Amino acid sequence: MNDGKPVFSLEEIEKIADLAKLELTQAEKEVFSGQFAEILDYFRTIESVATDDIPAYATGDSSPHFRQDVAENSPVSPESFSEFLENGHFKVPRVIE
Amino acid sequence: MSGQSQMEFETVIGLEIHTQLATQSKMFCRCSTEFAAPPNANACPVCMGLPGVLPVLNHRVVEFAVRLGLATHCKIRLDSQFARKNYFYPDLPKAYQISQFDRPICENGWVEIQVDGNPKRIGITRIHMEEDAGKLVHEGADRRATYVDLNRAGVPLLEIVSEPDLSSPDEAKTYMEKIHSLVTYLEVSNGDMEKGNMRADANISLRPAGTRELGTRTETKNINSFRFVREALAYEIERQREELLAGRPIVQETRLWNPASKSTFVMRSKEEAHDYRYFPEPDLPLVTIEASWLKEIEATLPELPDAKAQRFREQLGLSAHDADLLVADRRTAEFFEAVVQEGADPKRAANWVMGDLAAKLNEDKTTVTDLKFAAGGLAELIALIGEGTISGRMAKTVFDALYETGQSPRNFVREKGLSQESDTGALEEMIDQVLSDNPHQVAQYRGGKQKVFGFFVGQVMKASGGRANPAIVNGLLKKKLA
Repeated sequence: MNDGKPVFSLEEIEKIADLAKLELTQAEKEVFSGQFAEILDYFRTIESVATDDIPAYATGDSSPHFRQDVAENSPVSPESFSEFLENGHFKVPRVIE
Repeated sequence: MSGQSQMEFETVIGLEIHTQLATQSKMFCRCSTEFAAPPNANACPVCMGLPGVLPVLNHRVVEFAVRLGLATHCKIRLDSQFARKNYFYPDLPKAYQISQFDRPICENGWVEIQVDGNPKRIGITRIHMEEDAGKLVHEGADRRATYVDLNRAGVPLLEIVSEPDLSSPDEAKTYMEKIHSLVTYLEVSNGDMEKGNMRADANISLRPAGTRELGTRTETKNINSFRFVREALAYEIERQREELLAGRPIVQETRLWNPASKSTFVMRSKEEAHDYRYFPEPDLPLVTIEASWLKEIEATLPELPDAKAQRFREQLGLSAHDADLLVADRRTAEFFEAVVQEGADPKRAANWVMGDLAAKLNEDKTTVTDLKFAAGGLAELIALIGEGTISGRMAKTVFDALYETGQSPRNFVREKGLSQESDTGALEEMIDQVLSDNPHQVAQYRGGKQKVFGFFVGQVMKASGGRANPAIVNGLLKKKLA
């Protein structure tokens, strides 16, 4: 790694945009490239914190937390919050891989 | 290169099987898992991914995962963890699937399958819990739209990942059948293939025979029947073979099986695992399993197919082949046992259950749980044959009646006057008549043409209206023709 900020290539930005199904303009790619580099750079600060004795994951509550397997209808129907319904289906822009 | 075209390859296959769990409610919310409900009838803020909701894990999902883990000799992790698998597609409105990644609930197990009559162990890498995605419909009224039904979103699945231990399409099929048999025995899944309760993705690669290094693999998705797993793999092996022989490298990619064209086609280039940006699910605590619970689950496991098959061989004297066939389906095995308990000879009972009964059930697309008769009915039929009251041929008619109406075989035989003619005097009369009617054939037989014997038997059967006891007819005929 170099000493300066991490570098984000345009190809990497394009790949991430592709995974997120986003179309970015050239200008946006350049802006994000700079911002991503800054975000990654901040991880160096985080890495300097001593965390060896801390578990990587903790919710503070390790007791089992389950619900019983009982089915019940939700009081919230799709109609109550979405206007993008057609014959009961949500209607979204066409996606075909 | 010379020799390339004679090159022998061996096949390396690993399967990822998704099986839908037989729970009443979804994995993280109370929505029903019922099949074929109106679109989005079983959807709530949790499985629709609305902001501010929190998932709460269904107790049974964990129990089912542990049951299958124990049955496949896995190590059970007592503090497993959920992870988010991120991807953007409207079948998952949260934009991530809650799955498990580096701390799955079950690991390092195995199952045994029979390959050419020999046992072979197939390693289970892991079994993890995850939620299903919704259903997308692209063929709606508006061609520029996709229609989303979230009834299936959040339905619990177990993903069972095998080691690349399978060496042929037949082995893969046998392995998939074995997993199907296990999940239905354990009652963790209904195993209804028609409803998509079990789907497989197959990883497959070829390598020159005798070498160790794995070749580049492809993944074939959308395999939802035992027949398709064999067909899809056979197709993919041939496709890869042709590529390799032509000197073209195999491209690591995801392919889709198309049952209509019996071929696979490229779906998308394989996303690397890190593209899913897995990370620990912060909305759910670790899945902790108390030792006492684990013991309780272990104590309630049913007799599994391998143990049942062994018992059928050792206690009932069935062949390995018959025992394996019988135990594949738990209900069938239990029905067979009930017939034997009613006094039927095990070998005869096995033949009826796997033969005529299986054929009828298959024809009617139904199962032994929906029969019109009880095990005692079949035992009675078998007894009628055993005591010589009816012939094997009559038994077919009696069985048809039993199957269609549930009528007691003994009553049916009495009502229809079907019983076999075993009276020696009556049979002798018929035989004498047949012999005197056919002097030419008698001369042929006595001249050494043994084949004519069948003709006489046939004539006697005809004269008796099919009721003559064939064993007695054979004996009498031999005596008279000697």
